[in-house]
Amino acid sequence: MMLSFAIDSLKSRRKSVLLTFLSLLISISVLFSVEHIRTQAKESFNRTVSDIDLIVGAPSGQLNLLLYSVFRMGSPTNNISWQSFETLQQHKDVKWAIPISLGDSHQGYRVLGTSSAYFEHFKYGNKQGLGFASGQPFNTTFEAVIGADVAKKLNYSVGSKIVIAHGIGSVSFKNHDYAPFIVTGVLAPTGTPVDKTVHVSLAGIEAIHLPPARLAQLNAQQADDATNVDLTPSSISAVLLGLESKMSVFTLQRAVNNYQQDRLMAIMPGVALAELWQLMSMVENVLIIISVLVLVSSLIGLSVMLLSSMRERRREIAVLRTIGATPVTVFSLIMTEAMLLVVASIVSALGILSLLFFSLNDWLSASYGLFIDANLFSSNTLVISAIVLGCAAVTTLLPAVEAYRSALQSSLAGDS
Amino acid sequence: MTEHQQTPAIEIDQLRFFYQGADNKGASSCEGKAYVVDIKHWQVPAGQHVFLRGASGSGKSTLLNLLAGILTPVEGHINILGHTFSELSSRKRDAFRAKHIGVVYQQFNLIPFVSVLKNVQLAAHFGNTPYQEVEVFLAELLPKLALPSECLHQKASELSVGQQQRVAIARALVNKPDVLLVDEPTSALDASARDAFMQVLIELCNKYDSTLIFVSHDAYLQSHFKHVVDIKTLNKEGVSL
Repeated sequence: MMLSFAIDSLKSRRKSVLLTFLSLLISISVLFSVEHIRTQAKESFNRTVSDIDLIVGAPSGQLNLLLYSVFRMGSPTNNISWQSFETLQQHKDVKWAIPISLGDSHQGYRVLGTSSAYFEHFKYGNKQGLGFASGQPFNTTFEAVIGADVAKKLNYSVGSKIVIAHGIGSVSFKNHDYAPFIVTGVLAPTGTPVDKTVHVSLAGIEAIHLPPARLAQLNAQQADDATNVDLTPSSISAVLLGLESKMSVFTLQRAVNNYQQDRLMAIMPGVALAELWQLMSMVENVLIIISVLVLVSSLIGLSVMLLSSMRERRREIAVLRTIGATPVTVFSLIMTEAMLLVVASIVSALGILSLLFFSLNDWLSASYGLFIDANLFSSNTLVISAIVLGCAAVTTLLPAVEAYRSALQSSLAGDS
Repeated sequence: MTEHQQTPAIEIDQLRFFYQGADNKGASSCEGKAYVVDIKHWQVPAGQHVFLRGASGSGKSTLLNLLAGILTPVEGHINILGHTFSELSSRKRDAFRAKHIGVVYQQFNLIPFVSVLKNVQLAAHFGNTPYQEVEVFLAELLPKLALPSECLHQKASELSVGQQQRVAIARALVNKPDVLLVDEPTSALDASARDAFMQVLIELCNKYDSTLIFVSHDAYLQSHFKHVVDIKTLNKEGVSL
């Protein structure tokens, strides 16, 4: 009864209640989304690399190397020579080595030149290997394996022909038109940047960068024998290494960093990620502080709205008292109204954000490499909701106590 | 009205009341002890209808507040239905009021933003009367109060003042109260509505055996009552007018 009465009371103050609701909705949404993006970003980044012991590239910052080699963000500053790769591959501590060559694109998706070792050894999430949704790895120069998102968005399947452009924009003036690639495999979705990548062989990357005349020659030859044209790359962007024993990571890292024949840098993905989080934690904290402040101000707004309704409520309170409501009932009525409003805001915020993340999912992963789960319902959300409700209860104490006192002092409405 | 049949509905003993602090209420408590209400003894037998007459500012509304238990006496006792009402805890007093005392004021009796039905249900809620009975009760009562049955689901604020006053009677009677306190209920009504109102009120009080305390300054209305008391005779001293 009192609950439905509280709802009626809120309805009767529709305008101010609606505004307060909006302000609560916005602030709670901000808080939830900051928290959600924060944890999801971390998770999405952390699941991208798994079981890679070292990443070797040209010397730059370790974050830069990590970002371009694994997250396909930014561009390689410099290349490392093919000899260095071969040396690394043959090193006694190295179990496997995946060469990576970046710099080209297909309709805005990055093209990654690599070897078959990629499909064998690259792991994501909780040491999960790459799986094929259909098809198989590439065998020859002009074959490609595409990620799940590429296949879905561009409507490709095994057998589709694609053309690779130089550079990484979605519009390029220098299409390598002479060299169409045939899709031989589509990877299963991983929720990592792999989904947004077109994989070709290193030879394929070399081939599209040949002068047109040589490329034509290559095309002609390909029917019978492609080996006449040497497609061994002279340089690659980076190498992902898996080691025989985790114990040798530091030794090898040191050895790579001191390598004399080429300028190399080796990083441990975990350490680089930790550096990334350290960098982010300041931003995170600032965001959280801001969203908490926004929340506090809208909770104060809630309290102000209830307080300013007290004048018109005086009469209602007198009527309630007359029909036998105790001051405690009046107090809890105000609390109920505030809680209803906050709960409604939390529920709507969760609904709206789920919808928003669901619809922005593709855009976020395409533009920022962020894979945000649209499902906001975690224990974290519950904790935040409880904290918000608690804070709302505290700020509502003021108007509720005011109502309580008004109820204590109220005398019959007819009193002149 | 001094004869005892059974337990009197209302019994007042050595009641004194003044507003704490320099209040701007009708009767001022200037220097010395100026009581707004000062009654040595007053008894109302159960079922009696009493017209309590007094000019405005004579403390009659304060007396009603005291009888309803919203104000507590500074000195003395109030017994309602044998309970020393003025000495109950405030929670018990509120519960007692909800169950046993119905009140109708000159205006603003209802919560404006909820329906007539809900207004009455709310009173039933506090008086522990089951909701199912409310609709039956109203279905029976509305025609008597000359209220159309559609108004049940209208918001109270959408009714005319006269209709609101009649709904207020229904609300006051829903818990079958032993005592009905009515304060200038007709002051916002025109003459014809007033007579209709009085008739219904008296009829319903007879029907539910409620003791009626009717407060008004309007001498015209006293023709409806056998028992008339002037507040000045109750309030022997201390009332400054």
